[in-house]
Amino acid sequence: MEPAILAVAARVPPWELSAETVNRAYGRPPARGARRFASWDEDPPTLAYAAADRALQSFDRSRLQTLFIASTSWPRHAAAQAERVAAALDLPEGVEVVSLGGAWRCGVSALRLAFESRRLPALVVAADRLTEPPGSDRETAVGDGAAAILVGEGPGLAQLSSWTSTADPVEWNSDDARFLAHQATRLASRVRREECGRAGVSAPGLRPARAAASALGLPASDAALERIGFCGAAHPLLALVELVESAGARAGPDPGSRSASSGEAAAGGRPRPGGGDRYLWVSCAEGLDAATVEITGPVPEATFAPAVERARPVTEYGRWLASRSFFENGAGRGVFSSPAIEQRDSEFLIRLHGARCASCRAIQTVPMPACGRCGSTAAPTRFPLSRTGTVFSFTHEYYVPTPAPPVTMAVVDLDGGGRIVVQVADAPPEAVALGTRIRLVLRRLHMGGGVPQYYWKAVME
Amino acid sequence: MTDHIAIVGAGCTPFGEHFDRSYTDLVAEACREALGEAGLQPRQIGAAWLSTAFPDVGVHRGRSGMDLAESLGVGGMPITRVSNFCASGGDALRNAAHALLAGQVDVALAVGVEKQRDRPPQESIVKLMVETGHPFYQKGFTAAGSFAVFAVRRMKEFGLTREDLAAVSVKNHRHAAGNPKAHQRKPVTAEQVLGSPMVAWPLTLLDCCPTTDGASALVLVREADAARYRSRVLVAGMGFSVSSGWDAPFHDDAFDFIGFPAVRQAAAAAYAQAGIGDPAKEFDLAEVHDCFSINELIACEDLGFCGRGESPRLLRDGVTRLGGRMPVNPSGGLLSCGHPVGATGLRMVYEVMRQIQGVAEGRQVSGARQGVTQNIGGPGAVAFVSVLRRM
Repeated sequence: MEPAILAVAARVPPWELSAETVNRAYGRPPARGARRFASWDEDPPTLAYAAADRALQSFDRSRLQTLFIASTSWPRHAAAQAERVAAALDLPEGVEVVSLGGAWRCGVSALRLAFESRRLPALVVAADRLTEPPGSDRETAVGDGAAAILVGEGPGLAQLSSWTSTADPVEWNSDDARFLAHQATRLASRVRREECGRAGVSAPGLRPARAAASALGLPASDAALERIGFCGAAHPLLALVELVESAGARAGPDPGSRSASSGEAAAGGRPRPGGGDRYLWVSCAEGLDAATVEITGPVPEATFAPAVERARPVTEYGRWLASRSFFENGAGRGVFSSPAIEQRDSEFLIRLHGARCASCRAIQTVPMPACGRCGSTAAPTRFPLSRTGTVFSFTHEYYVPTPAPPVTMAVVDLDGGGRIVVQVADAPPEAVALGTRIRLVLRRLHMGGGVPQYYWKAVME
Repeated sequence: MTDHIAIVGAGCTPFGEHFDRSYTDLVAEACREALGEAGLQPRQIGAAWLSTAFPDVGVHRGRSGMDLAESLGVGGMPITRVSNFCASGGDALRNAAHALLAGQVDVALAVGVEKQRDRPPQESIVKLMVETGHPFYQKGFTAAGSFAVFAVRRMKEFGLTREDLAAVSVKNHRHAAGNPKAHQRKPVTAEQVLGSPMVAWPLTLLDCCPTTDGASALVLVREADAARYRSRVLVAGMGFSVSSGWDAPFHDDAFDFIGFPAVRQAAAAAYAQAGIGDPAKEFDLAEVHDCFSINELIACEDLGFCGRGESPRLLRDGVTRLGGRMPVNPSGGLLSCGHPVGATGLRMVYEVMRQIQGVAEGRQVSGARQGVTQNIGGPGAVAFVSVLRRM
């Protein structure tokens, strides 16, 4: 059986910076456009975790053979390895982890490698967190995001065929919008259109993307892609996720699950005899990458369009700058850190496995040499702790270093037993109460030892 | 054969910001007062215990017994450094008592000191939890936050209010006005407490003890030898307990965040030894560990002054204020005296001794004959309780 796409997921952060906000800060006339940006404690590894965890939601992780991680902005620190993300996802130790980088098209390359791999199922994750100089015209042209695509034996959600791939040596790093549009037109016009109803288009910038779509002569991908900024290696994969989710929603039996943004192009998909709808997926970057996407099944729940709709505008320019530079400016570097402790406690710290006393069954979130309840020293049973739970108590800390005070600390009772104390991310203090339901996600905690350190934080479900 | 010890000399420096006095200066001053009261020379001490909890976020002094030797200007005696978080002071006293009762020495010295203000507050005790400790567990908590979660639970369980918390701070600051050794002696109003900057919800700056320098010292002998000394107060009972590790309450879904098991265990031991039947009635005063306002309310319940959840009422009824039936923290407590960590447990004993001697001018509990001290450490998992009695 041919490999197919089994699941897709997007991580698009809610925080939105508009060109208007930027221009106001510099006393310039208003402009259109906006980007999304990751919270101060999110970076490519945590974005990748979020998208991957979602894509694997109803998949038996122990079956995964390969994890591809593609990024052009991955932190250059040992503590941020792709292998750590694999462990945080609780993937089997034998999973092959493949890291790609160096070019925006590396996300597409990873996907193509997955389709040609014999080590399936494979998860392809692309994540980027892109920053252009403050005050530059490109400040809101780029964005932060991640996409994850699970590839395995079909039929699944979609199949890819008719791959086209060419390398192109021309530099995109130009402020000349008309030239960039020309560049996109030049690449996109090489695509063989076949019989496709709609195109999902990725290009480094709004104008090039529109130019490429126009060169294809097809209704272009959803406008939602234009609202988040160009997310580097993740962008073409986000375009594919959007295509599969919106088309899958149309193909799905339940009209209620249709995403809000799919309406305008709803008539685009052309049914084929004996198969699903066909679409064109095109990425212009350091070359042209394109494939035909055939939708074969409905997605259970869209992740891209709802995330784009959940925009939380940040209108103070200073808040954006502070969130961007918090770790870079050395905050939290004085925190004691120890790779020895990490490797010793990694089963809990990274895999989030707890222990159950062999004698009294009490759960120890962090195993100790003896049970704290009954004193038994019999070897406890290790098991994966639940990553959801309920707030048992909390406080808001106003004197802990953070670019967005206060830090809310929550004592969380995990579903199925065990307790953990974690910071709450992305929520204003008034949103947290006793009994609040939370989910644990991987976030950057501090820069102990001068390298990013990752741990669990709670986000509201 | 006696199984009790007596305090025959006590010393305490003023608590505050001693920018012009060093760690050793403070130790020397507290020891001079204590030894002077006992009429002893440093060379007559058999052994000493030095309590400093956090040398490495302070001035890197107090890492070992060596830092007491030069303060006293003596050598050739056994000195042990004691470290048991914020209950280090109480533990120093306990260790000194055991050496006396074992007959190893005839005179023992317990000294506690912490020099925190050679650094800005943010770099001393706040930094302790933000930057030191386990690299991941509980990161984001300050000391205030680790007790604030008890207040939040109590708001749900017992209807605790921010005004109840503020009332503790108002009472203790009023008491401190009469204590020349307290760090902060200015009375505050409930409005000021509620309106001061939020530190860890629901605790504001005035719900928290300040960052303070200070030292305390006690000279101890066996009860049978006490008659030789001019000043003497009996340590009628002592209890000490470590109920769990640092992280355990935060990793144990059975922990209720209402009270501290270690305090109840230490109090039970101390009360049994001292023959206390009804702690709500038998004490003339108490010095308890109000590092944050919430902690005094918890202490009153764990020490058996009232039932679970009833401590705010005890406070509202005036029982625990100076002039009430059982004043709690007539010194002003940690909230006003400050909390030089290693010194605190011994400073409490110093205060109760002065009250029993009837020389606590400006804050005297009239007719004080018997009092209790409660010193905790960590997330309430370490506790020392002592019962002191006129002899």
